Amino acid sequence: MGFFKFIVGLIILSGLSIHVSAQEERTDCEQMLAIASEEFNSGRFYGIPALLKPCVDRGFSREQKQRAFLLLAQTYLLLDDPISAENSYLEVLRANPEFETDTALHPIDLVYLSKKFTADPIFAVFAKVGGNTSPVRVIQTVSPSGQPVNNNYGLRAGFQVGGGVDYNFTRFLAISAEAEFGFTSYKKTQTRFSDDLLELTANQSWATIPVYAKYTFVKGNFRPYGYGGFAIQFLNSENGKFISQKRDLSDLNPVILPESETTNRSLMEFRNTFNRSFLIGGGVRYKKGLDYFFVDVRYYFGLSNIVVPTSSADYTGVLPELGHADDMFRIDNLSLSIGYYHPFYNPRKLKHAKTKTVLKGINKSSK
Amino acid sequence: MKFQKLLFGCLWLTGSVLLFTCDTKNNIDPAFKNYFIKYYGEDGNHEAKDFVVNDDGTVIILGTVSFGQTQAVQTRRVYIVKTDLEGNELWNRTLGSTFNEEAADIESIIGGPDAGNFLILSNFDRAADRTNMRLTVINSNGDSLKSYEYSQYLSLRGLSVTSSASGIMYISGLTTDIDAGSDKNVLLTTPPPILEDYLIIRLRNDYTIEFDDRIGGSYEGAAVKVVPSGSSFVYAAYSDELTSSNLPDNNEHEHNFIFRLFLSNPTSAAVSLFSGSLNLDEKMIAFTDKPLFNTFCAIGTQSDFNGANRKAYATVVSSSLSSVIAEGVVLSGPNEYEGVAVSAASTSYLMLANEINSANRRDIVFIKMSTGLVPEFTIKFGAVDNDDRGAAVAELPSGDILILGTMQLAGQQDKIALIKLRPNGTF
Repeated sequence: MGFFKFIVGLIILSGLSIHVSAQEERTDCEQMLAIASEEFNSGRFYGIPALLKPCVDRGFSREQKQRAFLLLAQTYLLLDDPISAENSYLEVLRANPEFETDTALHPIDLVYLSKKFTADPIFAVFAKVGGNTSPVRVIQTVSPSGQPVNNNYGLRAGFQVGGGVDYNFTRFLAISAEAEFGFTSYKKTQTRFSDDLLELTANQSWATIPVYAKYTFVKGNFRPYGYGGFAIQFLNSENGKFISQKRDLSDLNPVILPESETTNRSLMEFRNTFNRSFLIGGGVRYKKGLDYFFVDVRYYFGLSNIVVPTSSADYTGVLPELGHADDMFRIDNLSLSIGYYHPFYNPRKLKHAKTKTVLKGINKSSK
Repeated sequence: MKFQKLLFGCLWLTGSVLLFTCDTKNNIDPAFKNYFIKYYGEDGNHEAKDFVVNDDGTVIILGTVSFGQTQAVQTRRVYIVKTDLEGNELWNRTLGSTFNEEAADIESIIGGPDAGNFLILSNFDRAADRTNMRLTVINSNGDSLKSYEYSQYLSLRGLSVTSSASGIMYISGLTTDIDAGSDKNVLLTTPPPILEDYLIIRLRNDYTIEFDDRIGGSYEGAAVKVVPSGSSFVYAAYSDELTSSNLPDNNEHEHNFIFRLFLSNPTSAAVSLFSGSLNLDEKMIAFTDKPLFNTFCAIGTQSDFNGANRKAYATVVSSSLSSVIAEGVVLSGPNEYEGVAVSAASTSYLMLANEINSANRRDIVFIKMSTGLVPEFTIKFGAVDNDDRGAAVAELPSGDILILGTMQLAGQQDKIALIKLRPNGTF
């Protein structure tokens, strides 16, 4: 026991000493960075790389590294060493992938240099969780009775989890693909034979693969986005519980029998497994460090009739037992999700520098 | 950039295909439209009894509606529904009555002044233990044109009505107002009281009785149906009467199928034919209303004398009653069965029976069978926990099969069920 305490104590002590040591190094490097800046301002460029090298190798924090390499990039530009300048700027983006030069703050040659580079993420991944509800859109009412029946579909709550990947064409435009697992529910209430009631509460589970194009606004901490696309949906299961009640209200002595409830039963023999939909949606990303939290609202418009007509023509099952026949219907889904978005930043040199906007920026800042 | 364009192109193409394949009313297959199970009824419980298929493709269904949940306060009336061949209800009628009344049979009137209309046979409770019969004539809109009561005996019950091209009609059934002088089973050492005679009434085309016959001297028995056979008629019945050694007779109330050919008066039958097994009861339920390949078919229930071990039993006889073509049990198994209905199709007999499980709940069983009683296929309808029962079956001119029954939905409400199948028995 004593030995164990000794080991734990040693680990804590080592950790503390490493932390203190790193802190001291950063303080030293901050002083070094200040000296290098003074050297730069004094026009003594040649000694700056050597001055910063020890800290570049081991001591800079991420923020200090950004400032140091920015200083080095400017230094190398002035020393007419474009390759080292480019390497230094690449390190700036590695330290802060969201760094952008500003014509009002940075020398024009650095601004032009920056336009040869980008750190925009090509891929980003995200995960989300939320709630949903599924409106039923009837294509054709199917009456199990010889007379028309009155069907009402009610909304019920469900939930979904999912994750996906964005492939960014540009900073604004991406193609996204997801894998989403949703649990949805709906309720059908049928009035037939004058006043009798038959109520179905159905719970479905879906695996959905949506693919869509997404447009995102990239300024600020709150970044709205919108998207539209298509989805393939696999209905994994549907279980339903029926409640029947005989009500003879027109009789001189009205009869209302107690509700009769069935156990939960699978309705998959009456369902198409493979379905399609298109979707629209949008939301807002909130920037937290280099990642984001987001809120997303989405609507799937079901394109497929999810019902196979066997429920209205069956030797056994729900039709002879309960007098239930499914309407032909598509099912939509409205969902609200919250999630976490992580871009994979990729600092790199562009094949074609984007210098067209530089002049526009200069004019803008001079006004 | 080329890759991006390609990706966008693929997305656009996929999207377009998906969009253009959106399911609408126009591209979904409404299989339920032509082949289906459809239910009929309103408030109350509805028991199916029989139907007629008209030349225009419409179907008139006859049943009984019961209001109230207990027998003591139940009100029963004759209920009629007309549908098209897609099962859509065109109209329904509840026939008025001052008594509790039950539907028994519906037939098209094929001769006489009311030809083209329909005859409905029903039985009503005039008093305790006293049932009388009523014939109601309705038109194709369900309007009741006229009705006649038959109460020449204290209590009588009609099972079927037959219309003939000449305009005369026959009612088949039974009466408990027995003919005490008729023959009895002389083999019984302690003769029990005679309870029922079977009854055949011949009506003129003005619905007056030309003559009626109480036939039998049986403990139990009933005339099931009279059908024309050439220039004569055949009546089909069951009773426990002696068979004049046509079958082995014994000193038990042993019921058998009986077929008799007569010219006009059933008591003067020219030919008699019997079908049944020794020491088992065979009680007939239904008889075909037209011949198939010069044969007729009857279906009923075979059981022990105490009513146990029920099986569906059928007999095919030649239309001249010269011979029994085939006879025997057509449905048996771990569960019990009772015969319900039979009709002649174009090449086969269509039969309905009820399968009865240990909880005394029934399912409807349909059998397509040759004239030699060789089954082509069998189909069962219903839910295990509900009491579903068959009523009538017919082949449509297209070869499709129409089945009428009663389904107990959700274990709490009886509704008339019309089932339409393809000729091979599928939906």
